Amino acid sequence: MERDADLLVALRAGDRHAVLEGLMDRYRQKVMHLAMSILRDPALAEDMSQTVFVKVWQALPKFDGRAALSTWLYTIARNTCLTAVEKERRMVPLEDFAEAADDDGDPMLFGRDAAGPETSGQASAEYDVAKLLDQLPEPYRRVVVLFYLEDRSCEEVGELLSMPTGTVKALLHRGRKKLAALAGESEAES
Amino acid sequence: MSGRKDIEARLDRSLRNQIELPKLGKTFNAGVWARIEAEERTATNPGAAPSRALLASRWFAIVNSVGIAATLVVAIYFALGSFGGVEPPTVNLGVHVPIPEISEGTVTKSLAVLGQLIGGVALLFGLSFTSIGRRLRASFS
Repeated sequence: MERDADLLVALRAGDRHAVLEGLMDRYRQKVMHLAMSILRDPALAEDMSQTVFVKVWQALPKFDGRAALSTWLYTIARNTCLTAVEKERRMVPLEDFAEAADDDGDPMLFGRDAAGPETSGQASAEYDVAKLLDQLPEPYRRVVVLFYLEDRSCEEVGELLSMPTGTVKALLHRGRKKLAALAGESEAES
Repeated sequence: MSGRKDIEARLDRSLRNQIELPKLGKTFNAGVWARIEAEERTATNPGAAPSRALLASRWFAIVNSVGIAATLVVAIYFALGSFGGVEPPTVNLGVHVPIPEISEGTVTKSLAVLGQLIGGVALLFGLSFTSIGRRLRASFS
């Protein structure tokens, strides 16, 4: 099933299994990105993403179709992650999970020496993104992280966070200015 | 000192290179289905895996029953002795245990110290349930 319309048809036919499978195939990565932008811990983000789909499974019979499936799903995802943040009152410093990702041999996540195809000779010219993002206040940080996870699309970020695209652009602009100022400060210190 | 444009360009490159997540695959879906199955199994057969709270309440019920039974036995024993005219059986074990003599002053002093100790412990116990106490307990656990 490739479209939400097909999922809605399956839902009306009572095929809850197919609907959830379709939703996971289409949206698991986006839900994971959204969770990551809020929780900033890859293991917790994956765990919460799974919890989101378990909740979706339980709530599917009550879905009335007033909102789009994706909007409904993102709302559940946001609320689940925000509740987790409140409940656990944990915000793991980015350095910690960059190191954890290093230890596991997982793909680098906000890591210091993540080398793109052109960066092997420029590694020293790169900024420590983890450290800089740690100093950036919400909601700028959430928007900046999601913007880069979502292949730099303001529309996608707006949809995930339920924000108008204009607000996303403004937050992103200010967030990047703040990050640049922080980068300049750290450079002047060193 | 780098120029502003240079800083912004380097920052953008750093953000692009360093913010990434592994792609989720079918194992993610399998994990979700496993969790759904586990939840549904627990919901349809709650007796299969009793929660910690349920186990604790069962233990409380057992301990309470034992306590009530012991109290009843003692009460009946004394009631029979006091009002029923039934003499409780006395058993002579044939063992002579010398009882030390304690002066009244020592007893009074010991009771005062014991009273203060129990009072202090009770106060601490009560304080441990205040918001500060809860925070303190959490920092030690």
